Amino acid sequence: MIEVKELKKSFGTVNVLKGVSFIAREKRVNGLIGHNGAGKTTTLRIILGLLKPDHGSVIVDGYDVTKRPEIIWRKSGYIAEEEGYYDYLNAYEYLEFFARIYGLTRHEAHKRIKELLETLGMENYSHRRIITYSRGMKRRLALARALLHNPEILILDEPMSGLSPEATKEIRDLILKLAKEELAGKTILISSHNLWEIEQICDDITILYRGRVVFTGTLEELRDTIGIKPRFKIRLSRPISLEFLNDLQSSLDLKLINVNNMEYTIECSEETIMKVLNEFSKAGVNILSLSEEKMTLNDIYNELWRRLRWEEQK
Amino acid sequence: MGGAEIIIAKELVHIVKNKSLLAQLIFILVFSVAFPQIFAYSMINYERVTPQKVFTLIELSKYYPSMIGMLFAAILAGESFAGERERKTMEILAATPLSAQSIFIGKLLFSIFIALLLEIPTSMSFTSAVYHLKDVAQLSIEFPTSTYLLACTLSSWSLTILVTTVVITASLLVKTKAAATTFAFTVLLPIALLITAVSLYNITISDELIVTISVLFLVVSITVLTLMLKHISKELMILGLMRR
Repeated sequence: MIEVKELKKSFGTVNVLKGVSFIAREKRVNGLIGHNGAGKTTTLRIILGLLKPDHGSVIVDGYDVTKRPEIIWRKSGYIAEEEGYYDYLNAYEYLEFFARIYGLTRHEAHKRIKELLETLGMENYSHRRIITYSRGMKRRLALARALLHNPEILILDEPMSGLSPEATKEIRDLILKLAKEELAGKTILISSHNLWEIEQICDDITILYRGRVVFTGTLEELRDTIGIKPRFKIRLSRPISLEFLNDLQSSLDLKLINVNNMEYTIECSEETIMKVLNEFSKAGVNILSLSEEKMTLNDIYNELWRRLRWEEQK
Repeated sequence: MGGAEIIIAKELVHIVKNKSLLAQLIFILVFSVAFPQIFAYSMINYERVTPQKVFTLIELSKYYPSMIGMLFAAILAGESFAGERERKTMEILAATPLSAQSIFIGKLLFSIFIALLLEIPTSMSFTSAVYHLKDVAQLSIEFPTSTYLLACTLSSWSLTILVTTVVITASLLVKTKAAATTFAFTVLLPIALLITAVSLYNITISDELIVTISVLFLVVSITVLTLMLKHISKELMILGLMRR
């Protein structure tokens, strides 16, 4: 478990973190999301002991890693947002160099590198120089490096950043696959502004907004916190009058979002939708289909962001 | 050495496999070794060897290898942190269990060691050229004397270590390799000009004084390095002084 407490960090006159606190739970995939400049990378760098906070602490296994960073350096694997490689080396030499740093013996290193290259589908490229790799291949190599010493904690800063859609999918699938095998039982902290990716991969979410945490918890908890009602798509046998809809809107707690031919999108609680269906059958309208439109993390985040902006302007 | 040896090995591979850096070093080495020999050959060929000129060359031979060593040191030390930051590999290296001190010591020792190693052929070439010219001029002086050798060795060591210290510190603080190199040459130029002036105007500095100045340079270098090791952090390695 990583417990982040009241982190504050300034660069000159810019307050990047204004008291960030959250818990990245053990053996779960924790997502850190926020707009550019929200403080995601700075938070991750402080957790990794690469930056010293002006205030606050990061507790890992009972130790404050801002004071004893060597603990997190041993326990964690890291992929930086914009990272370079020693292009003149091949994948095997590159991983061997890091294996030496992590204190693996020659035999252990050879075994582990072989294993990881196979898992990541790179065994045929291991003796090709990194300079010849595509971005997706380089990210796979970064993943292999981060997993080399079998760390308990994996910190990934925008792992899909700058990749083509195909490479993004490839890396996402790889992370999902690894989450079941190689990464099982590890605490993973992943930052991204690609909310779809986060929704696919993460168990818990922490949202940063201008250097402070505005939410931390599961996606369901986020839905409840924001208080966004579900959206239902109803397909009717015949069109209904606007007057009838206006009457419904004024008598019941609902919001008509969209009308497309004879398909109506309504935002309301589950209780209200039952009443709406009742009203339709009373009016002699047959319901051909009813489906709940799942609110994506992107929708929820946008709503949250809109509210935060509005509050700020107020 | 707490991991510094891993950095030294990595830097060695970096030089061997980085063709542009290797070419730069080989070019300077070939030039610095060939220059004294060509110079001596042309002096003999055009019969311009005089005792006065040989004495001037003996003076210059005390500093020439230092200047070449400083050049090597500046290139290697400038490449160290700023190069790593420019390639965006610094953050990854910093996130490993290697301490900031180990990384710094590894890069520093490597730059000093390679610069001193590459200085040896230059030094041998210049000394042999002067030795040959001394014979041609029929000078009956003892050359090279033991104090001369001590002065040569100490001056080249101290200047190489001093320049490495200054440039590696600059490389740590500035953001790009270009900025580090510019800084390195800003430091090198006045030293090189001073050495040239001393030699050309026949200002004889005794070997004993050279030894004293060299020791002073070494003390300054060690003081700066001790301070650096005390204050170096991974934050400084990643961001330099440019913070954000």
